[in-house]
Amino acid sequence: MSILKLNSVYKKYFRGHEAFNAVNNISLEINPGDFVNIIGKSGSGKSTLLKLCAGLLTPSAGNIEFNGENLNLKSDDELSYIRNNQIGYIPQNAQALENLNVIENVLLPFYLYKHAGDGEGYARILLEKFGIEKLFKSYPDELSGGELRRVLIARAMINNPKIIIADEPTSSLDAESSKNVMEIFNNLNSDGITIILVSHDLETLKYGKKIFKMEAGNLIFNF
Amino acid sequence: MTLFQFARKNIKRNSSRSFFIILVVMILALLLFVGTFFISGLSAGAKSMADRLGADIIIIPEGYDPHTDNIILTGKPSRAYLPNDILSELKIFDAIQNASPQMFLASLNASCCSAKVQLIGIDYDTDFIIKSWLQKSLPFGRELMNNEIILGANVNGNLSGELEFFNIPLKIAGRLEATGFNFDNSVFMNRYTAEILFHEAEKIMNRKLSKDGSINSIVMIKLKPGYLAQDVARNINNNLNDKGIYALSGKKFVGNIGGTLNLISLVIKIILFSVWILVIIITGLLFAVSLTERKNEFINLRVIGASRAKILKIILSESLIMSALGSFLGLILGGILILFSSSYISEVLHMPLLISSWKVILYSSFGAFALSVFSVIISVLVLSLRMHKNLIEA
Repeated sequence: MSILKLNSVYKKYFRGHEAFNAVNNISLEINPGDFVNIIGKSGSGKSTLLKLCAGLLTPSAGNIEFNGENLNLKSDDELSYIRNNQIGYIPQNAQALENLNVIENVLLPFYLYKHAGDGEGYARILLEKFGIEKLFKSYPDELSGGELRRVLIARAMINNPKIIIADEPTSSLDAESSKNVMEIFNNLNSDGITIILVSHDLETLKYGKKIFKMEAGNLIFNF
Repeated sequence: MTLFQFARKNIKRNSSRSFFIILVVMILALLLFVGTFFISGLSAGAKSMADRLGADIIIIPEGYDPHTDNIILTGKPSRAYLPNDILSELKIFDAIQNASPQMFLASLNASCCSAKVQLIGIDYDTDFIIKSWLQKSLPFGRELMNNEIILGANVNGNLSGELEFFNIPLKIAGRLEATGFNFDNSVFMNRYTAEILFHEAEKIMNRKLSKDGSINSIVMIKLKPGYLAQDVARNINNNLNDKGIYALSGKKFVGNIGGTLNLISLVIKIILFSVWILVIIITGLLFAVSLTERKNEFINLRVIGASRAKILKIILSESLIMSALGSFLGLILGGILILFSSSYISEVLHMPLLISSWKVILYSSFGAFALSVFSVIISVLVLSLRMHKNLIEA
């Protein structure tokens, strides 16, 4: 069974009185363990597609299934719960909360709902895995771009999601930091986590198993 | 970390804005508490006074200012006396149901007091106003005995102790509840005791205090149903104009002071309402700015699975913490303000201020607290619901 399935999904927006489809009749099936790269120019609809996949937006037409469940039929509370427990979403320009230190930021999804287990212990494991365990009491404004990105990945992982959706995770990072981040995603995928990644950094293509291209709202397969 | 702890961290982060919100709410709570306190205190004082003016007509010696509060209300020490036969003269008026004389005598200095006090003697057989108050302050509601006194709230003296007036030691049997005006500085006794003191006073001063030996300073009159006080008072003045007395409709006092009270209450209420609206607007604006600046934070919360309802809970938790803290501080400051200024304000307004019972103070403070917190919560809730689409849609 696919983990994520898009069936003829549209997302319509309006510019003034003129309507346009940011996502135009996309059907897509992602299986558990996939590492999917989506590339495309700015404004091609990549971010909109990812938000639809993460349940942050509702399709104007079509439906999205996550683990066999139709997300269109879910309430905001239900979608939010799915996103918290099963999806690790790292949006473009994602930020940590400035008033929380690193470990508090990582634990924030854990505290949003009741979760069993030692959240703090697992958070430290994740930080160690990503090489930033010494920064656990630091605040976001004390971190470099690469360190911050790793904090956000740890945050996305805290509830053991089935899928990570990352929008431009290497933007604004230098080559080495970008490589570190992509290695992390690669390792997570090796552990069985499904990855959907959007980037216009062609270096990231080295890490994916499937590559798609977005163009004016349309998804081009295996181009 | 609970939602509450998260809200506290957010408050600390925006410390200057949080400070202003807390300050604004503090001012609102302070004004609500103090305003309610004074309105209830003034109302209680006026009611107490109106209760005491249960008389329809008051007969006073001619020559006293007809608007005099001195004799009746302020209890300012005085020595003025009606003719000795006034009670028999009043019997000709059918409208009168009950006529009860009272004696007022200004003391010399006494050990209880740094200034003269008003000694008030009542006729237990005919009194229909003061007797019931006095009996409330005596064990088992018994009558005030000869050579016993009941002290006003502000007169020093220990129960079962003694005070000496005109060299006569008198046993302290009880103490009246506070009235908010100068009855609190008076001493009450029965007519027998009053007569003794009166005669002793004459001996000490070596002169007659009244022309014909009368000890009646005023007569309180209760009318039969169906009679208008003003008409009867006019009738008495017309028929007894050669007796050196003046009949005053007692309700005039209540009317004057009641009118002043209504005006003061209205002004206070207008001020409170204006402040309340201002606080809602200001906190709304402060929160609007804060929420707009935190758009990215809310989007991040949505990203990690916070529902719209949860984000609203976070915002409301923050407003609850700040408004509760501000309200609490406002009540503390209000309490201090009341403690140090209530008697001064009563003096300035020339209004009796009856310090409310603990129950009323509790209700006022709880009401001020609840209204302040509620106002902020509502303001923030409305704002958040209107802004939520812009705030949290990624």
